[in-house]
Amino acid sequence: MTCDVARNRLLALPDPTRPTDDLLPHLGGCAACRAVQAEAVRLDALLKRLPVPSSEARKAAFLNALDAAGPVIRTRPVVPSSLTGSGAFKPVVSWLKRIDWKYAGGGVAACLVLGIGIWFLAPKPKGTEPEQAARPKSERLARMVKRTTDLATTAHAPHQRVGVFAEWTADLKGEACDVYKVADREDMNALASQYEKVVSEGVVSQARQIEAGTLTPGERSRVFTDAMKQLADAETDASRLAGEAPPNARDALAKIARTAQDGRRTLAKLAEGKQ
Amino acid sequence: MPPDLDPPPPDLTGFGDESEWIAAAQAGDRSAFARVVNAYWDRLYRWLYHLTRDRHRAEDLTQETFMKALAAMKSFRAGSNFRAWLFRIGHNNFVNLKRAERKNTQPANDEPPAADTAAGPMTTAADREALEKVAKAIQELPTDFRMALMLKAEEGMNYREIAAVLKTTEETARWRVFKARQKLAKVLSPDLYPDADDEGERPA
Amino acid sequence: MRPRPLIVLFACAALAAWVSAQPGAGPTAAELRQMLRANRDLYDDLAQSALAMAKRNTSLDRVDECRRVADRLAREVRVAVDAKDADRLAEVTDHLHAVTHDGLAPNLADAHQDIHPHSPDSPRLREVHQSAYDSLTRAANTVPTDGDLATHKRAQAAREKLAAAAARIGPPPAEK
Repeated sequence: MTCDVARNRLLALPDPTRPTDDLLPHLGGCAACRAVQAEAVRLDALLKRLPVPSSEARKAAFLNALDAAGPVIRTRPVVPSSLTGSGAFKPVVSWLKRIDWKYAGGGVAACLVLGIGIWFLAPKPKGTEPEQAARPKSERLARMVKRTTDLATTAHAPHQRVGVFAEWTADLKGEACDVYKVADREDMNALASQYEKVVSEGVVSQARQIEAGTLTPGERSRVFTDAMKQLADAETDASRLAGEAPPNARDALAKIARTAQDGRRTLAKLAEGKQ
Repeated sequence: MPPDLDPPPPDLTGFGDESEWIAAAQAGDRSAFARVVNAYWDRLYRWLYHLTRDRHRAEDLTQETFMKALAAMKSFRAGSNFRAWLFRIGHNNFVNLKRAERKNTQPANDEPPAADTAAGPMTTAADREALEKVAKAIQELPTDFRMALMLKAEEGMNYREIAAVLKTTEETARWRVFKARQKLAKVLSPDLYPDADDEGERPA
Repeated sequence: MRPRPLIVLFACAALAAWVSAQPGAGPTAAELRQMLRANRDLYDDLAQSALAMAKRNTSLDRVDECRRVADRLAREVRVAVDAKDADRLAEVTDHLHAVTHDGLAPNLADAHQDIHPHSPDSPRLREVHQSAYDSLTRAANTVPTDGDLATHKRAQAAREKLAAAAARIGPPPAEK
């Protein structure tokens, strides 16, 4: 166990005075890490002693107020709902069972034909031009915005950010695979460059920052496995499509495949602690 | 990280009748509820003080928390974790206060750290200095780190409980405590962390 | 032929006609290409911001980065208004609203909580907050109240949404 791992594990312990069994051999042989443990213990003790202004007067006032209100707490009765559980659905189910669907089916179909005919033939109200249906919005753009705000609010830990960026790369790959037949060279190259940037400066960079000892082995494995799977899928899909793509998309798809492969290999090494 | 080897909850000797008090309070016994208040006020108040850094706000929040707990006593599931339930109400009240202060554009009224009422005559000069350093460093921690750390340090909550209070995952609770300790440890003993990186660097 | 099967046949034909008249399950290749064209630079800038955001470890720095994202989207609002494109305006307004509500506002709240008025970071917080507020207000005022675009319901809704986004964060608190 390296000192870095030991230090981080010490700081993450529920109680620094009780190191786990696997930390003991390292602590036994490393004075520097024992000093870190001692400081962690001291820090916890200091935190308990942080001065705080007294609140005795306010507490006493509150307790007096409780006392003065009388011995019995009177609360509003809680009225149970009468529509809970499956009982409410029983009448509906039995009604449905009574219908003879042989004849009802024909009746429903006839109504449908009639209804559609009326809709087609009925005059439209004058003076109002209905607004044209909105152009489809980019779901990918929406996801990118959402991930940016996730990074701003909830995904603060490196392992969480790895996940966010891995999904980002999946979207970029998806975009490239959707448009490669119709997009021009410039657009495809831009996508490939973005992909490379997000893999190297996002996924791999954040993976390097996952501090040893901050995740359980299972959690750590999951983070790396999920990210490597995204990259492996990208490598497979982009390689396959590069083989059949028009010339203006071929290089970009090949670049995405290479980037995904390199990224996956680097993650594999990081997962094993070899980088 | 090895399986969670949290220490047992703090020794609640003297609070061993807590479940009885809670049951009695749920049945309408106000004096039983007063015992619960007496048992938890100081602990809840300390935590809320560390969050608000303002004695009056912390007292208001503490009182409001107990009022809400009183109103909701019947909804508390007997046998489940009362402490986490109570602190969760406190946390929600704190969050609501922050929201209300944002709307009214009233920033928190920071007080200087309280006088050294906790340190007695046996406190060494070195400890006193360390307390001041830690008190200052705590103020500079992000709120969510501070919340998690003080629940761990003062209440001895395990990560599952902390996650329940803060409505987050156990993993996030553990990470926040780790990062908070790491930041404070670097302030307290910078010589033990010579390769401390400068976090939050602004772009060139 | 017996009447019942005829009725069923007519019903199936009507249903088929109705289904085929519905909008398709997803955009066509041409629409995807158009979206890519419209969004390519924005994808790039968002990726840059996301990568920068991942390096920000204080609430103030995250506010600053959210402000940059909001500014970028506000620019898209102006482009959509200039092009009199109500659909695009509605789309980017939704994103600007989301960034304000889900990114800028919570981080501003945390920053104001963490940074007291006499802290060295306080002037920067005020400046970033004011800048974000001004940007959102300008974006809202960019949407015209008269002319072709103003008659579109989506444009009207966008203007209201942008004003709501600006109100969500409000100007920075007055200095004491």
